[in-house]
Amino acid sequence: MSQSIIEFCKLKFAYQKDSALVLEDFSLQIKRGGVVAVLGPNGTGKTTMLMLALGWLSPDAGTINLFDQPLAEYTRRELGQKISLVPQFEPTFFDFSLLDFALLGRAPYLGNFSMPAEQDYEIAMHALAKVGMADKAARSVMNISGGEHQLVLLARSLAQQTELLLLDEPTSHLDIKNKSRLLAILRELVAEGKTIVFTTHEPDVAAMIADAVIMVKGGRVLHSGSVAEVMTSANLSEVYETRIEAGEYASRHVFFWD
Amino acid sequence: MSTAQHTLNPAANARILFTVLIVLLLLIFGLSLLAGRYPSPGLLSIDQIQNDQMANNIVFRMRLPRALLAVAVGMSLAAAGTVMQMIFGNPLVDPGFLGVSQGAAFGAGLSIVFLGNSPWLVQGSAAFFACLGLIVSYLVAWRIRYGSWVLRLILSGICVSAIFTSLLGIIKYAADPTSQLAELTFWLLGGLSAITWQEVYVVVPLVSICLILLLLFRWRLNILALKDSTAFALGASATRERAFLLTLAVLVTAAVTAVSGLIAWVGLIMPHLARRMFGADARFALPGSMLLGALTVLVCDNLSRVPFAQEIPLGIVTSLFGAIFFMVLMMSGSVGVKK
Repeated sequence: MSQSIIEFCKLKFAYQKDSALVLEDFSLQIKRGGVVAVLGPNGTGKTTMLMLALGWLSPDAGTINLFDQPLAEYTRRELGQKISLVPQFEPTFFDFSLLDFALLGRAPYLGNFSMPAEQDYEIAMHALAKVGMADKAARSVMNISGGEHQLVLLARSLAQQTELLLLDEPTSHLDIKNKSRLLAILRELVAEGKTIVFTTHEPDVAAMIADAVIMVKGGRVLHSGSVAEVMTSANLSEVYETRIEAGEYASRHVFFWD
Repeated sequence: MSTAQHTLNPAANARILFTVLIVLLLLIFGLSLLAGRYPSPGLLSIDQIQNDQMANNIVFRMRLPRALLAVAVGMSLAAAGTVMQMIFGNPLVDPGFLGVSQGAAFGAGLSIVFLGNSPWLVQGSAAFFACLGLIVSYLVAWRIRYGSWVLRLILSGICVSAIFTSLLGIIKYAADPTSQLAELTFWLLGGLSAITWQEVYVVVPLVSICLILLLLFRWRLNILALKDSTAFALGASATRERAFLLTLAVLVTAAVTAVSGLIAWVGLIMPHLARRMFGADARFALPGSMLLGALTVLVCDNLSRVPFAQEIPLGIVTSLFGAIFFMVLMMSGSVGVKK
């Protein structure tokens, strides 16, 4: 099998005709395995990039290949079995139990007229256990904290059993304890052979977990490579238009800004 | 339910509750055939039905089709309410959305005042304009250039409803106040007093097909209640699947509204009650809501015709009890609105 899991080639994208391009000449190859952080300030097209990868948006020009095959050649259900999304936040209006909610991740495997079977419930329960929420499976999605909400969204994505997981700003609503918990879960998932791509605007989160960092700004890839190569004071200052110093403390990357 | 020792699939637990509701529905259905005001207020005996031709006619030519249609009305409105609340992600939506109820009301008014006041014409016209309401709402939503699909449908539905309401106002103003206006007002209040086998033959098969399709599709309703992009990520063709389910929901609403008039509150409240009893998963909430809807309309129809010599329109009974019940439901806990 090929090394590349998803590849963007010279993408151009605008939300409306005649409006400013959100992505311009955007090229990027993501290899199998590991964690890739897409780092950049707010409003640089990070979420747009994820939505393009998902097939929800289509590029105005350029191609996207998933497992070396053009994205357009997959059916909806095939895509749902290969690639899953953990959105930043998802409002819920009905009080599904956490188990019922995680179970929705089984949809790509079920026909239009099918009901989830015992096996699907077990997979959903396993996914909840993975994020440490199995004991709360009967709780309502409307009565959990923001941190738990993020974990349940991740559990639903795990129930999809996809090799590639896309996470949109997974840590932005979390406190330090929950951030640490989420990063630990992501490390476990990578150890199991999953590939994780997440967007973030927080350099320290990227530095803590990413195997590769992609810095984007203005709809283009500015720099990409390992944390040590890419996350330099000069590059960060350029991307965030703010003076940022990258340093080390107790063999961890730390960033100071003013 | 949350531990892995026994089965995780909640179907077994729900089965007991469903059985109870079905038995209850059958009991009340049987009682509805016996209860009435002939020859005196009370229940007919089997002996009377066998020996008294009049009693026999009343049971089989009047009460039986009426009870069947009450079940169809209850199931349809409750199912349509559940489907619409989930698809619109809004627990306060009812089946009259998208111009359907107001379209039916306008159609009935148009027929009663201008086209001729035969039951067939009134029902046909109501059904036609109910569907027209949906189609216009769809087309307008298609042309709105901003917002999600759901928001566009809601906006255009509000406009279409308002237009039909205004047109109905003109018709009311033009109607002959001594005969036509009274007739129209009575239709708008909703009721099953004029139901015969004719209506049952037309409405019940159509409604049955739509409801069976909705039931088969019910688990996916959960997916369609999610955000567009999330539903897409879960492999759904959200716009197409939603359009399919909404069309079914509107068809059943139009079909029953055309023969029963406006029956309020059933489509709004039954989904809430069902979610309270069965949980939010539409796999159980949808059939639960349908059974509760059938029970409620059947009981309300009995209340509208049995206790008083002069029948009270069904729409008034459902509104009265519906509103009181909704207050109790809200005071005793959440109705699922958290914002």
